[in-house]
Amino acid sequence: MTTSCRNSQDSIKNELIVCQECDALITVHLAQLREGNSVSCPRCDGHLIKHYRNRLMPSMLIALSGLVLFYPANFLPVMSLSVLGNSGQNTMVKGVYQLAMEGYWWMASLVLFCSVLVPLLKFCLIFFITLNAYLSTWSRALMHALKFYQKIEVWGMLDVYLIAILLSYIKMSDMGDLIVDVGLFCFIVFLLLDVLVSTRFEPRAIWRQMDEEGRGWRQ
Amino acid sequence: MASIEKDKSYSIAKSARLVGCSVCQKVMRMPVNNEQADCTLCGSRVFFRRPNSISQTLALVITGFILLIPANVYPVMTVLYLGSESNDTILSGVMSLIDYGMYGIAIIVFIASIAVPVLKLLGLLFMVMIVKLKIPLDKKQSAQAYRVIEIIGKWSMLDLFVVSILVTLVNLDAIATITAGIGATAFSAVVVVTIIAVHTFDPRLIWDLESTLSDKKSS
Ligand SMILES: [Zn+2]
Ligand SMILES: [Zn+2]
Repeated sequence: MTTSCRNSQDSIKNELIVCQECDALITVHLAQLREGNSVSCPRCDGHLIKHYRNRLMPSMLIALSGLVLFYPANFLPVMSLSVLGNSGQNTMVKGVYQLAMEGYWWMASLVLFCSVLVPLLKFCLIFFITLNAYLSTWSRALMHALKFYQKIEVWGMLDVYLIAILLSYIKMSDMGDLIVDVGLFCFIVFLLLDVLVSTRFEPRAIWRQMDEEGRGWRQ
Repeated sequence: MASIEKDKSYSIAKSARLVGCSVCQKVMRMPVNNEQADCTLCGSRVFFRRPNSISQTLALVITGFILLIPANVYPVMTVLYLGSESNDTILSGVMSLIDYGMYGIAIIVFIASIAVPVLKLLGLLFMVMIVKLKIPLDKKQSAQAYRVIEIIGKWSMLDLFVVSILVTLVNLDAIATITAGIGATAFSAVVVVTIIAVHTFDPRLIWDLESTLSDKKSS
């Protein structure tokens, strides 16, 4: 059946990578990669490797802080508007709830998925993955977690949501008294942690490590 | 950046009957007489080229264009302010922002909600045409364009997030209420369809044209 084209001697010095965007076979010198450089495809400029190895501990801690901040960032009021004594408040989750109450189920689930669930799942998965990798427990569950992380990663949209908050603020500022609340600060920190961990964490480096350990799907 | 030898002719994985897994980056030899196999490391399905990529992308792009019509004709939100009701479509929302003199936000909303989805669908349509009609364009630039389409995609969620914030923020009983509209549902479907379409398109197909063209020249 399928065989690896790398032999053990070569893997110390070079690694053969297939570019996912142009299908070119690229030989990457691992010595340079170990210094923490990223590598792009010389043929199409597509990104090949972000990091050769993950620094597991920092990613784990960032994910953990993200999980701690999840509740305040999503359930505390982001801002509130009061006009002539009446006031309305916004929290991340309340927006979803209100849409669902109005009968917009499809839109409510999309907003819930992209701005609440995916960021939460990303932190949970990164914490689980880095913890397992740190303890060198290479399990089938870890593989599922990695694959799931790579699938949902593109649907995280916290950065878009921050701009949406900003737009709503400017749009509504002359309607009444608009107060920025503590939830917004939690949300911004939550977003920064999300950006930080997404740029640091390279799931493929974990796969590479598992490959070197001789792990595979059928074992 | 790690330096990689930059020679002009690249060996193509498919020609060497090698394939790189899109999930874990493992390089495998494709079994004889097969176009697809299961990755030995992560168990994902690996293909030389994504099957039916062009027809699937085309179908999704057409769906996207059709959904753009209700997304722009029907209101995305209804504003009830001091007894007077106004229905905002995406375009009329941008227009009223211009009327209020908020040019900055008007431009942002226009780019995110109108320019991005339309350009993305046109761009994908163009990619499909390049592959179908074998248009001899600069491959590196086409690859760049594809990457831009991939990155900007999520920003069209901006207006939907704004609606989800405003429905809770402006929920002041008699004075002012904002509710979502049917247009928002159609628009969120556009966003989802375009994001999926980007991922069904196989960018390797663009680069395949280069090898077939140079094959013809050399023969
Ligand atoms: Zn490439
Ligand atoms: Zn794989």
